[in-house]
Amino acid sequence: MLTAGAVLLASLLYLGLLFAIASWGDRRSDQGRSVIRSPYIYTLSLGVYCTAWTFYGSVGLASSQGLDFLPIYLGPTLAALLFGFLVRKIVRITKAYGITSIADFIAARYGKSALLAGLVTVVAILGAIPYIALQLKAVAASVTALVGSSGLPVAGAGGTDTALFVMLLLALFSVLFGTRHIDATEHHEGMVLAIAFESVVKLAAFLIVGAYVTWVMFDGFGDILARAVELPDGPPLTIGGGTAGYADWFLTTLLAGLAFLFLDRQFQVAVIENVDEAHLRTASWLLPSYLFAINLFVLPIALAGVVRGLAERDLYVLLLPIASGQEWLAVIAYLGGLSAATAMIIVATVALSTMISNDLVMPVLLRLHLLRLTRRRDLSGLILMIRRAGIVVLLLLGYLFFRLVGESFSLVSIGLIAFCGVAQVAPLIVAGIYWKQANLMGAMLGLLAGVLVWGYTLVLPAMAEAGVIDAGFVAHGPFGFRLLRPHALFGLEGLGPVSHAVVWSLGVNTLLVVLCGLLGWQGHLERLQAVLFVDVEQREGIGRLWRGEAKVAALRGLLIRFLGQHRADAVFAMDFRRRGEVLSPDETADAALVQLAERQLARAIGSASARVMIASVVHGEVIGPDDLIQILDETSQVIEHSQQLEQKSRELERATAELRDANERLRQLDQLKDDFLATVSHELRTPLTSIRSFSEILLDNPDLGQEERDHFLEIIVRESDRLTRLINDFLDLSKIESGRMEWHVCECGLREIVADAVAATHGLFVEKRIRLTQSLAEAPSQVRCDKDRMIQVMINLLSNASKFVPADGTGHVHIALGQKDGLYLVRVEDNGPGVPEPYREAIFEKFRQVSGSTLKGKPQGTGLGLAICRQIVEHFGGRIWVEDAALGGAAICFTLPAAAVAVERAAA
Amino acid sequence: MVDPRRRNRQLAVFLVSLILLNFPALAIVDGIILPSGVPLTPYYLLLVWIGTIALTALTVVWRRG
Repeated sequence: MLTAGAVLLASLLYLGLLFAIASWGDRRSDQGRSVIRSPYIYTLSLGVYCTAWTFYGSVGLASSQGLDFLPIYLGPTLAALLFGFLVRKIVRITKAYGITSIADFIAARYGKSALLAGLVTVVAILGAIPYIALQLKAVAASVTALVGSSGLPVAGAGGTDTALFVMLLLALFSVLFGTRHIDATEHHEGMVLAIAFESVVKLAAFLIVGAYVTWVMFDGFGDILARAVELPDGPPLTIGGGTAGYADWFLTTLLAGLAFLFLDRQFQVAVIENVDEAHLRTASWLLPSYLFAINLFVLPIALAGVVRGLAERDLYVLLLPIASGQEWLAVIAYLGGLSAATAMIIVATVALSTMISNDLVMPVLLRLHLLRLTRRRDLSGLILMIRRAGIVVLLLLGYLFFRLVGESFSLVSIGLIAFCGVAQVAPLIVAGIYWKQANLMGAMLGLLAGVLVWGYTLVLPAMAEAGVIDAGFVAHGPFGFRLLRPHALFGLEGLGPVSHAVVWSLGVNTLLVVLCGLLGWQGHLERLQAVLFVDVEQREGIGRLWRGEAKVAALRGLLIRFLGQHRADAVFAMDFRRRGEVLSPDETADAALVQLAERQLARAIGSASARVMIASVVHGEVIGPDDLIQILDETSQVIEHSQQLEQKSRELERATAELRDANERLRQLDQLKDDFLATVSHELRTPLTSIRSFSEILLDNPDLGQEERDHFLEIIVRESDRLTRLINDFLDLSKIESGRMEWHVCECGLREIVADAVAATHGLFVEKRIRLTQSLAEAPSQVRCDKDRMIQVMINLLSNASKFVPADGTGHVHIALGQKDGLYLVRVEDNGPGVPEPYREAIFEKFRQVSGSTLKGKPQGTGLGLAICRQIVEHFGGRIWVEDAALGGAAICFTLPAAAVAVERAAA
Repeated sequence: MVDPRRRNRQLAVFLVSLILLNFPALAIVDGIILPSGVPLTPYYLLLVWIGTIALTALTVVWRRG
């Protein structure tokens, strides 16, 4: 059995290791060899979210409420998906304006209001103290569980002494590693490294215990779950409980997500300690992985504890190893719980001590003229002392809370109450960084109302539960006024207490922020800060906040008082690097130096106090907020103008590209035109040349024989006909293409059209001894078209076919009329050489004949026939193409819609 | 500036996860009991959780081109 001494020794060794790690991290940082410039260290430091509540409380909750512990981790999992823009924007604002804490952030956004900063700090403290108490309670309870059976004090003094001992050690740690520097924006590298290490320890401890319980004590997940469902009083393994159960689930997820983003300690590690924005990307998936891993065994351990009938549900992680005689495992579990508790306490106290110093104590002290602080030579020591005292006071308050009322609550109930309190800053931050109209009035009223409702609906009932106030207040409402029952305010029943408080407090808070933003008024500085925060991406680097005169000596004196000689020198060294010369003490500081000084001062005492102190040394005209707004507006105009120019440039590029394409197209058309003219000239010249030649022969040789003369005249007539045909074709094509063709549309039969075309070309086929066959469907084949033009198409196809079939009497042309896909299909097949695949589209273009390929000699014709056919067929809704014919040659096919279909199409 | 494509993908994962981890998806899953007598819900939640992590990692790692 473990003794108290052994547990104490293990605790001391662990905390000693923690000190060593933090010290090593700080030394490395001092040497310029940072160890926290890693997304993994950053992500592990965010694991500070998992406190003793996770380690012990989740198991306790799971053992009684089943899956209800999960929203606490699903909320952060979803919130982590917003890292890429929400948290990134907060980080950017924080770095740009030297913000030191979440209170400073909110105050800076709403006009550097010291009052608002103080209010946020008080809320954060109110939320943190019970949470610190929760950690101390967990440590004390775990020690009691470990040594309880060894005959040593198990409760009361034994446990609380442990808490006191741990508290003192943590106070020492936080003071040593959390308040080394006056600049609160400087990274606490040692502390962050220690927190990351603690995240590894608690995860490893939980996984080891979980694996032991699951696979050694039981036979895997399935075994534990199967045994648990058989228990009559086992926890439910569904969300269930009607719609209210799901509403509670959703609201708890929302609350956890908000708390994860806006808890002061989370803000410290996620924003203030962030050294590289890119780390947020890795954390957005790695942190949910961490949360998943640390929760993997929560349910198995909880169910195992229930199955084994153990008491003290919150301590199953410890009790299960003890129950199976594995003391070493119990010590591992204890160290895991200790690491979870200490990490939270360290970060929370460091973050809160900065807020206490910068946003509560210093603003008050600086306004107390009796203290004459502004005249003291060096205030840096005082600031550090306030922070250190803040740490000790916070821990003492946490300890007192634990001693007085902590025993009355479970770990989970304390945690959720605290979450709801700190979540009240969420509407202020979200509205503050995305909505310029959000104003100080709304922020103050929203926060105050939210906190009051939170206190009424959660804190007072918790005190009633602890016996501090009358419990009848919860059951019947104040003075028996049932509508004001804190768990069913205005009759809203059915939700759990926390969900109920979330709805009312965040609802009222958000409503006031929005209403005041819509109706309220913003001061000049508020307007300025709103612009700087919301448009942080565009505003970085905007300076010139002061136009008045400030002597360099006065600024230096101010910096020395608050930052110390060393830091003040560093600030002037930065200024030297910027301007390239050293300013003498009597010279007047420019706006950039004044702003640099204010920003550096803000890092130590917060933005609100820094503004007051800078104003105390700047004499003459301070640039008015209206001027600042004007500067920003001018900048906005420049930016807008620049964006417009970019837009125009893009449009110009687009137009240039279009112009280039059009030019190319024109060039192609020009080329086509040239080709066309060349072809037309050639086509016209050929018959003209023949006509002229034979006419000259006839003229020059009057004594030619009659037979020869007739032959020449016959050639002249034929070439004249060809010339006429060619010109007619040109005219037809030109009319069709230009839309000037007059169509005489009527309903007519395709059989009739085919018959007319066959009759017209009969002589041609007889003359060339070409066999013409037909297979025409008997069914009516009515189409709507210009009958004469369709006959022209058919004649053209038959005439073409007759040109290409063999001239030795074996020529064969076949006409078929049928249906295909609801359309009438006409095929004119021949047994000629056919049309090779590459030319099947080209033959329908103007002057594109398949010469020089498989054909021998120049084909007869104008080269326009098929182009005209295509125009006519397509005009009446059909299609024309060429394919292989069954006869071995080409088959020119075309389709036309039935008359009824054509009418419908025309109507449509 | 935030890459708008990545931001949109992350928002899409956020919304899908939010829907899958809440009513009415959970109400549907709650009604399913496995042959071993254990409700499907614990397994479903773990699966969706893993899926969310995987999709988030993909949106962060994946870059066009």
